[in-house]
Amino acid sequence: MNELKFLRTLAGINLASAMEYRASFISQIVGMFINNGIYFVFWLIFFDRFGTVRGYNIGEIYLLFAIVTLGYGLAYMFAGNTGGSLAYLIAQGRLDYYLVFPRNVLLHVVFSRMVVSTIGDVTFGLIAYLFTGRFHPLEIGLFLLSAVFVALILVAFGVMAGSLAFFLGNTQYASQQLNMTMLTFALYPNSLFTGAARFMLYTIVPAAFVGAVPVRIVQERNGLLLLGLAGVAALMWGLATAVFYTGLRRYESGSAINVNV
Amino acid sequence: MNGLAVDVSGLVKTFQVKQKAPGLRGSWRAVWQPAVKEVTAVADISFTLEEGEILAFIGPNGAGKSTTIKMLTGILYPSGGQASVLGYTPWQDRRTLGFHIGSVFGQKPQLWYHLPAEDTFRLFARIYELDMAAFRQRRDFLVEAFDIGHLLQIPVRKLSLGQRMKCEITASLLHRPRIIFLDEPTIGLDVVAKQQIRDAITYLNEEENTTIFLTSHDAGDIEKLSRRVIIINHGRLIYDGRTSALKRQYLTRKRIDVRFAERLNGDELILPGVTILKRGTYGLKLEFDSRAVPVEQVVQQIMAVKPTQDINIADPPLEEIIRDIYQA
Amino acid sequence: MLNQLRITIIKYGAISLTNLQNQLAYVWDVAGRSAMIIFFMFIFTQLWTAVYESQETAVIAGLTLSNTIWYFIIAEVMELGKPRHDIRISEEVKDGSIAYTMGRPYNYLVYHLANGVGEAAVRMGLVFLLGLPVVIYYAGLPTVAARHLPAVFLVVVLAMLLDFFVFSIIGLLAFVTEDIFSFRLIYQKLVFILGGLMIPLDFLPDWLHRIARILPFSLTTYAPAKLFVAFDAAQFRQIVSSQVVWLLIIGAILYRQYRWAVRRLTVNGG
Repeated sequence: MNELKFLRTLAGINLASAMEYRASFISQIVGMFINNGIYFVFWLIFFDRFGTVRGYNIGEIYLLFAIVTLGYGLAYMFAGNTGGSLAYLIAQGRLDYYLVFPRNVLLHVVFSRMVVSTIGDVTFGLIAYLFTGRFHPLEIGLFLLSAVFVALILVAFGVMAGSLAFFLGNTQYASQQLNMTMLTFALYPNSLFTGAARFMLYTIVPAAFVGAVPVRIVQERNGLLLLGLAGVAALMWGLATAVFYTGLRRYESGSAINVNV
Repeated sequence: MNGLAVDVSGLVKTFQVKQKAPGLRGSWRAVWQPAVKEVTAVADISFTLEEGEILAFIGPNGAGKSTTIKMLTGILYPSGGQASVLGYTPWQDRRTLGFHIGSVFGQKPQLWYHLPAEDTFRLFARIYELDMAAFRQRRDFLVEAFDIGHLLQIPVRKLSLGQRMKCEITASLLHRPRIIFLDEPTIGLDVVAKQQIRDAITYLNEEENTTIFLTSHDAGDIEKLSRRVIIINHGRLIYDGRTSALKRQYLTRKRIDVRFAERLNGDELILPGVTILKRGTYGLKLEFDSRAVPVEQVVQQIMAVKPTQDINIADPPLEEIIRDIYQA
Repeated sequence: MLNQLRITIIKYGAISLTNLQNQLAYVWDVAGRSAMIIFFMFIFTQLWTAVYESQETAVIAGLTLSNTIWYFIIAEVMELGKPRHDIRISEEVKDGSIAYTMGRPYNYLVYHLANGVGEAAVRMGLVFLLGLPVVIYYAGLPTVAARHLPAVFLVVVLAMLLDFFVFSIIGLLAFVTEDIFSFRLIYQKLVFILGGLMIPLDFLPDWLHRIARILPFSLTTYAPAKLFVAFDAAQFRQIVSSQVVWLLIIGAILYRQYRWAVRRLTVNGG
């Protein structure tokens, strides 16, 4: 439980640090809200014009957006050091800071950055859910739990994307794009993709578990599928931990640059 | 009876470094067939350090100092060899060891930049799982020792370098580490701030028996703080002994830069035991061993030659001393 | 007079060329960044294939599936080739170096324009080339007639100039507010919908389509893309005249803002 108390303090200090600049704090949140809103408007127009496309209608989109934005918001509100920023820390030798403390390095690193704009995502996700009209307590419960697992999966994926830097050098941009790819795929109706692309969405870039699967969980009130999602989250965390710590053995702490050649 | 704080034997660290020939053609070739070269940062280092000792660990840039410290604090995995810090193997027992060591890396701040130092202290209390009452007591004690009470509420970005360094060191001492690694703690500081930091380090060592592992480029830090010096170069240990012995042997060489008011003829000042490094139209650069020839004697003889405009006496730079030791 | 013009052209031409070389030096880096187009085009083709299939029709609002896919790559080329000089300007304003850069013997804005042309040429070319295989695989060759290409090119040039004006205004806003990033974001997001980046304006509801066609956002993205896939002489004339009108309006705003900034710099000394 010490770990939780520590993470809570870390989140608090992150928030305090972000609020030092109030104007940019607010404009970032509002900006993200607009950003999500535009995509939302696109889908409103889209389904208004075309009706049902491959089994997806506006109702599914409300739910999809609610889950993905809430999950993404929760993930990056607390655990922002994944993907590109994790790769940057690794490549620049900035992990030193975390390594001298008597704490779990992975958790400490990942939870040390708060992406302020995610407050906009969380609010957006909750508001989008209101549009679905699904107010049965069971559905609300499944929705919130799914969002938590989505957050866990996104963080685990981001850890793996960022850990590439241990093996390949400075992968900041590639790691960031991997995270972006995951998120973009999750936000499109899963039924658009067939064949190899579909297989990929359940394996290499497991965006289906972030978007399509949680949507089904809520729609079908499928508790069993929720358990499956929890299993995927656990599996991905196991993988992410293994990749990160395997990489850590190769960590160079920026020392290689200073060595006499 | 003190135990061993650090026990290192045969420690080795190598890195794979990508090579690239200069120019566009080199870049092009590096894209398709990158050449990798193995570079040795630390090659077979062994030494021990007793609890309560102060050690100055020095060497030129790129000698392997930081790499060694990083292996001893569990940041880097070694490529070979053994090390034990307070009985733990740093890269295996990193977390447990973390409770007992403190570190200050002069160029890598630990304090949160946009927040007052006090906030980082509180975070550290959580990180090290300190009892809150004990934490407050310890903090108040350190705040008084470093005289930083008036700085605690100011965002770190607004502090001067010296003020910031004092807060950095305070932060790393909150959990009463048994050994503290200080990497260039006085870099860029003014004389007063340097002295304050040296005093505090001495105090810690004397009162709390904290083992101090120090790297510095400042000869003053080494002379004033540590009784023992280890010098490394090219990843190898080239000197391990008392600071006083090092001084007797190597810090006795002095350099004098003189500028005369009149033009030199070219045949002045042929003194036994004094080497002329450089001879100009108006100036001379000399080097001598102050054990063989006393400083006063050299100065007197210089003054006797011609009226002087300026005289400057200095120790040779640390890098040169190290080179001398290395060649010896 | 003519000699002076020659010198001016050589000067700004050299600026463009230098930036072009600079971009080429980082061609792998730029290519890596542009590679996202492959991914975007893949998603777009999947989405719009599904749309045409669900409507059970070959033509929607005058566009075939092949037209629509080609529309998106041109729209993306316009979007991803956009200048980023607003960020450069705002950085210069923040660190004060604008006092020097404005004082150099060239027109500050024309300098950034020349710079931007070199940069945009490389970026647009790369985005197009990388996206091309996906487009050809799913949509075949474009139906554009060679004789229409000069007209489309003119629209592209005017579109870039219009974008340049807008982003210059955003960049110079740094004199007034610290955070220009949100202005850039809002403009870009408006282009997403009202500029036709995510959906061709022809697919919008009629009332929105009409509003969007009057506003400047569509003139930078939708206009070149639409004319490329389905050229229409009347629409071409309408687009070019709108572009000219908006260039005059936004240009006038930029001119006043720029004069004001210069005066402020010379009065306050930076």
